[in-house]
Amino acid sequence: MIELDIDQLYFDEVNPIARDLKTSFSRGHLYYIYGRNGIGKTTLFKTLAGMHQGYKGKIDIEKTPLTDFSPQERAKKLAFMFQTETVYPFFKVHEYLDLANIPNDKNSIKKDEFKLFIIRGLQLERHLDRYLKELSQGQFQKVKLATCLLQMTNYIVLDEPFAHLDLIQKERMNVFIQELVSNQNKCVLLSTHHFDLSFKGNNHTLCLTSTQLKILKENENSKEKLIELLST
Amino acid sequence: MRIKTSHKRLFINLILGLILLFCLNVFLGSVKLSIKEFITGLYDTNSTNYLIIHSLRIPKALSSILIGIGLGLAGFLMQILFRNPLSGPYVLGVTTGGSLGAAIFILGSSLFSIGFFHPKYGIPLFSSLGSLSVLSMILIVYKRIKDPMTLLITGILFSSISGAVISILAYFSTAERLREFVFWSYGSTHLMNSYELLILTLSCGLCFVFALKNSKLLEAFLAGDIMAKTLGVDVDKIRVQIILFTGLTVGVLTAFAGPIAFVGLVVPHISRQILKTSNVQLQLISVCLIGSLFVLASDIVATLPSYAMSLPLNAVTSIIGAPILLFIVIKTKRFIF
Repeated sequence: MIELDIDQLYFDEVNPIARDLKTSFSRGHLYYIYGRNGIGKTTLFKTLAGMHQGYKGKIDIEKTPLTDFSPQERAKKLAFMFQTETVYPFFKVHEYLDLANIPNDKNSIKKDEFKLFIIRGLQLERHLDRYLKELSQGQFQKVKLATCLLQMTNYIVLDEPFAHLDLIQKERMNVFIQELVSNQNKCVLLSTHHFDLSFKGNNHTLCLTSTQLKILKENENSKEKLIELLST
Repeated sequence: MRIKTSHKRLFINLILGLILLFCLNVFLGSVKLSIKEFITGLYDTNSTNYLIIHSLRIPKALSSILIGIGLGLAGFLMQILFRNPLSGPYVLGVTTGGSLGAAIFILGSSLFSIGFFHPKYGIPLFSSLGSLSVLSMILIVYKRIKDPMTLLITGILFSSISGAVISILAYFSTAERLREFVFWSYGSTHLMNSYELLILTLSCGLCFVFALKNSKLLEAFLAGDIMAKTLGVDVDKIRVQIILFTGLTVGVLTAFAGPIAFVGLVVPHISRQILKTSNVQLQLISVCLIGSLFVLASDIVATLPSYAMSLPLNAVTSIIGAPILLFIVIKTKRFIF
């Protein structure tokens, strides 16, 4: 379980962006996090990744403070997908996917099977030998998601994974993530601006504002209510 | 590590080319030898050519190979570190620091009362001290501001300061000392003894082993800082290690061979265009082979076979390197780090 007990989140060392982020995230659950641009979704995720230290409060991963983990230990617990910078153009897709082995470089049959499952699930088989520079942004988005999932961590944090995807790909990827959560008992935190996604299983909608991180109740889980909350 | 057939073929060709250029480098020189004289000179200890080949030409060819490897590796690692295609061994200011050290010894020996050192030991010693001083300052700055771009600018600043101090020293120096410094700054593969070759081999070897051992982490660097961090790479630690290993290698190279331009900049670009892979292990091998070939070929041109004089190696590497880099940019329409 990831336990957030953040009193104040800062954009940098002085500028506050959000406060009272107090909630927990459990395995077998998928959390869709909504929030306006610049409210701190990516900053919150970077805090979890250990890349951002501008916060007051506490974050625990399975009862251990986040700050106690070394970068490598953290990468064995949590996998992240961010909107990354320009990538070296001579990466082939299969080489990029192999980066997922860095935190845990031991080969196993289970790992190979999972790799095959992810590659097939995200329909990447025919792209494996292509250079990243030859892919569309949507295809690259799927490669990044696959690399993140291939780290085989229990907790997965995805920063706007549906960006650049067409309607069909977006829905397929959403369903794939939902199935992964329920079948493999993963915990996924996912930031998005899309509200036209289908929901099934243990899904939760969270709204991040400057004053709270609120989990919407069943009766609140509507587009209108979300817009109302985001506008405050 | 699985190597594709095309890459295997490439490496075999590069190794054959290296052997060919090595032989050619040893064969050609200011004293013209026939093929028969060359062959007998290789093994006949009574032959006068034996001394020329074994004491002068083979060490010169070996030092060319080591300089190519060292500068190629340093440039390759610097370009990954800064994610900048124009990075090379010069950007950190370590080379200029080495030049400043050499300038203090050559131009300022009368000012600083250090003339008691023999130039053969004094120049490498002061050059190494100069490089290490700049390297230490860079590491201190990096500890405070952990940003590659700031580091890049800091390196340029150190280079400018070193250059300015060298100008001042040159202004107050005698014509004879100035001439000596100018000759040193031309860069040379000549007259390295076995002890110096051993130090060069060790520094290049250490840099290579470091890069090979961390090849997977360096691949994560190619995917960007954020990606590397999410994969659990201790980015700051690796950066400091890259600075340390490349700084030391470049410092040692500058101390013994003087500043040699363009090798560290152009060799990683050639390697990238030929291999077109993100596999750092393959790139390391290719950078070493291409670097060796580049300096061996430049040294052959610089030696001006059959003439008693030779051209400055530093100038020849620039004259050969710049058009190659220009060709790569025109062909690919952009620089790739």
